[in-house]
Amino acid sequence: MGRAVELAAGVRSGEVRAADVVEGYLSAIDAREAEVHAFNLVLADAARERAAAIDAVVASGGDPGPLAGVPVALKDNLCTRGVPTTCSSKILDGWRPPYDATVVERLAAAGAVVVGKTNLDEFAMGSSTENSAFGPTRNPLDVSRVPGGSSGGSAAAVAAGFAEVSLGSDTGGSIRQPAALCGVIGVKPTYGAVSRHGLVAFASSLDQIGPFANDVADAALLLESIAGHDPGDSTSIPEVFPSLGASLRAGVEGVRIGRISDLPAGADADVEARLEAAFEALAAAGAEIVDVEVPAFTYGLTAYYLIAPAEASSNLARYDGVRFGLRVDAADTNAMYTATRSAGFGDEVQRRIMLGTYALSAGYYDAYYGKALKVRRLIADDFARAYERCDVMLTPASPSVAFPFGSKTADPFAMYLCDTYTIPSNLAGHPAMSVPFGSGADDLPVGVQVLAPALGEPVMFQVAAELERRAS
Amino acid sequence: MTSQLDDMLGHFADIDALDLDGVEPMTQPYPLVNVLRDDTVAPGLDRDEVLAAAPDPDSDRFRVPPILGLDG
Amino acid sequence: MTWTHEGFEMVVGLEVHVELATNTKLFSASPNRFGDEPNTNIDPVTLGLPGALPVLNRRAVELAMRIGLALGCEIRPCVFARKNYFYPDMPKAYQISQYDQPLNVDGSLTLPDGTVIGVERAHLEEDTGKSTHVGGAGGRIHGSEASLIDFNRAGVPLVEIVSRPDIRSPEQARAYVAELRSILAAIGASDAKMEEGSMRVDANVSVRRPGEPFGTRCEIKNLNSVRSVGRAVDYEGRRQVDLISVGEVVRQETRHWDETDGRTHTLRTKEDADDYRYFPEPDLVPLAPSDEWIAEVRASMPPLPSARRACLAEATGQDAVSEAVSTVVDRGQDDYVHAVVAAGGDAARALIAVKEAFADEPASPRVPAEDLAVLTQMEVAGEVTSTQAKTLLAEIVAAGGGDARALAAAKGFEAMDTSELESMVDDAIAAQPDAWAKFCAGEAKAMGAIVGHIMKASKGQADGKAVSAILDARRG
Repeated sequence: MGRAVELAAGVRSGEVRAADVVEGYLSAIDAREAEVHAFNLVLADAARERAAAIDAVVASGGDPGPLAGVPVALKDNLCTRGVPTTCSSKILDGWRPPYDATVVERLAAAGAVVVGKTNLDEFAMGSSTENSAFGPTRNPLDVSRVPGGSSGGSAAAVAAGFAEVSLGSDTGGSIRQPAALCGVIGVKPTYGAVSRHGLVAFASSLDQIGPFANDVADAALLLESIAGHDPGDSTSIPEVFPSLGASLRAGVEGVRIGRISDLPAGADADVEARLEAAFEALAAAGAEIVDVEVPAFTYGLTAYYLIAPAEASSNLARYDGVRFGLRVDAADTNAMYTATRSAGFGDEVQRRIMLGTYALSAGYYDAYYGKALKVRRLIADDFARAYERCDVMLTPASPSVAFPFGSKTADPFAMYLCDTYTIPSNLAGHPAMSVPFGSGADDLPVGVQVLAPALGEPVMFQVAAELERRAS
Repeated sequence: MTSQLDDMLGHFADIDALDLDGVEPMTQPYPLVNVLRDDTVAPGLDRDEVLAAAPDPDSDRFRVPPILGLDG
Repeated sequence: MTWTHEGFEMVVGLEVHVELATNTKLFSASPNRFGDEPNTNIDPVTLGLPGALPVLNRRAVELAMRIGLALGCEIRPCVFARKNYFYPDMPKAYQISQYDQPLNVDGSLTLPDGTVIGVERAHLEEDTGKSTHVGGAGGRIHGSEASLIDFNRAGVPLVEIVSRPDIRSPEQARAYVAELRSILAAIGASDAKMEEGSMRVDANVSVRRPGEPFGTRCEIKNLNSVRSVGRAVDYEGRRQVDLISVGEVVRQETRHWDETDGRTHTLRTKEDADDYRYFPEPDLVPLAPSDEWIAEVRASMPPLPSARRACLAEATGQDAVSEAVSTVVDRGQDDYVHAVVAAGGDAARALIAVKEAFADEPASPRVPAEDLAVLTQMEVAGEVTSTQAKTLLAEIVAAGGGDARALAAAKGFEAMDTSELESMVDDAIAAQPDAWAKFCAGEAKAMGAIVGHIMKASKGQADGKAVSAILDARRG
């Protein structure tokens, strides 16, 4: 049973007080947050109030919900009503949304206790959280190294014990890669399984919200709490997957695990070794390992770095200083736009906006954005063919273990390579998750990525649970 | 930054090797169609709350500097 | 009526933006209402707040489909697209519109005179907010100190109707706009009031010698009435021809129509136009109306003005393009005229009566159909003269109804019988021998003096038509 699952059960039964639970996590935050900087904003008072309210519900015989009293951290690109939501950008510094994201509403309805808004790469663009306008987050396992990104704060918060679970967002790997680097579970659901209403958009056809947790069971519980149709999101799938509880206990007897024989190279030897060990462990548990090919997989990086910036260039155009956020005054509106956006956006964001604008521009659309959309189709088709012969696939989540600060910032492309194995799932809209599976270089955690077809969360969690059982 | 743009576009040349003839562009990961909503009014936002968060609010509208680019 | 200027003809296409008559906006549930206090119909989607997502309004789609069907378009599976540009009244800095896969394509609009104007497409898109400029002259941008933005209108559903460049004269341009407005109101898609901005017309105008390829076109904006459309198109055609005639070149640009000085002025050149970087809207899914839905919409459509005019024309024996028929259908009072006929009224007289006296009445007038029917019957039977009938009509309309017979009796109205009239005619001829001579010689105008004599003698009770008939008969 997962720790969050246990916690909630204890609070609901009255055995444990939510107020006591949250104090424990707030103490952990007090002890190490200055060093780790997982949060843009710690919500200690609000958390205490909420915990007290939950205890009151229990005391009066009510049921606060399946996440009763569970401390949760939220990536700071999720809208929280009346609470600053900055996307780790100067352009939104201090902005308080007048509404809650759907996932925030669902967590509240489930009884969760929000302890803070976590740090991220600015507007979710990055793989190390070094692009935050408010300073980087440090990997709790080794503070000289990055936690990964863009959801570095949410991964670190769970790894450091500042929250039991957290939510991040994943556009090209921004949940799975930091999960791998911090040694926790990170899940990107099927595109459309979790409502994007209230998630500040980076790339609309790729973004998904998902859970971080220390246990597969907790990740499943959190995902179930937030997934499901939302009429406020037109891309929301009407019916998602059934409850995942049974999958966690099912084992992998007869499950076909795909090994992608034409997977792009680039993973470090220590990571490769752990992936091999994962295949062996699953085989020992009764799974069938099958060689499959996904020829277009290797083009995912290029397709992604044309599609995502293109959509982002449009999504980020609304930050113009007119209605909310930063405004730098100027003599006319055009000058105001330029001054505001130059001052408000960091280098990586500006770089991607420029790239995206170019990819969509007249005369270049077909060569860049248009072409990338076709590559996307090839990847989806290749996956579909491969899934005729296997139920899930396994790859590394990240090419390397956590890397030192500054080691990949000289050349943007070096950083982009971090997403090599995670991107294709976003392009295809498929679910994927990272599960810690032993250690690599310098005793740092390695994450193995489980990929599944659309709405294949049950079999994905089935395999993840087995990996978790055999990781130690 | 423009030279970095050129470098990146250089990296992206790998897809030029692919034969994409007859491949349909994929804009949506999950094939939904006809998602519609009823034409019923729902509560919106409070004007004062919204203007309070604006960079330069007038009493009832958002103020911006002169709009350039038109002689109209 | 053809337009030519120094051997050139004009080639005009009209782009009409129509605000749909829905309760809520196109992509959010904020009210779609004109005239509310600024920024009171707002929500996260309307303001383009981070994290806000659009959801398509079913009623807006229905009304857009009605427009497509009314214009004989093909309704196709379609997608939405982002049109990206910066402007303070554009909250997302992109407009959700339709680009290369619009909802309605390949239709036409037939003008009352039978001319067919092609309609290329009619697609859905969202409206922008409104900006007012402070500090400049006459509220214009030029020289302003600041602008104030109201987002009430942002997100209101629009259908953009693009005609083919088939229009060849100011009269055709006016007729197109008038007929389109009539259609939109008749099918309930929009109240289509140019003066309120719920219907906005831009004209694309170019000129050429007949048979030659199309010339460079200019887009004309700020056309606020049907009349302006005609005047602006005429002016612009002449302006372009005059330029070409002195060897100059027409620049492709957007021009602003000034109603006061009757000219168009440069607004911005197209060379500087934005690249809108259109791409499919990832926050929305495709729209593919089923055959069943299209059939439902078609079945629920009220009759079009052309059909209503034809029906009324047949019932009243008038021409479908006559002013009486057009006016009455435009007011929506044709059903009423049919009701009067059904109640036994005389169709032709009912039509005239409604046209003349019901301008301020609603589509369903207050006067009961039976009351007007009785009045028309009295006139036909000669129980009252046409002048007397007019008087009674005015009173009945003012009172919202009335018993015509009782009213006539109360006023002592009764038509004079023929022998009375004949003897009055005898007296008048005797009294006006010169006028009678002229009339017999063929001067129709001379009748006026004789009729006038009779009207005076009868204190207005003589039926002018009957008198004219007697005079014509006497003349032989």
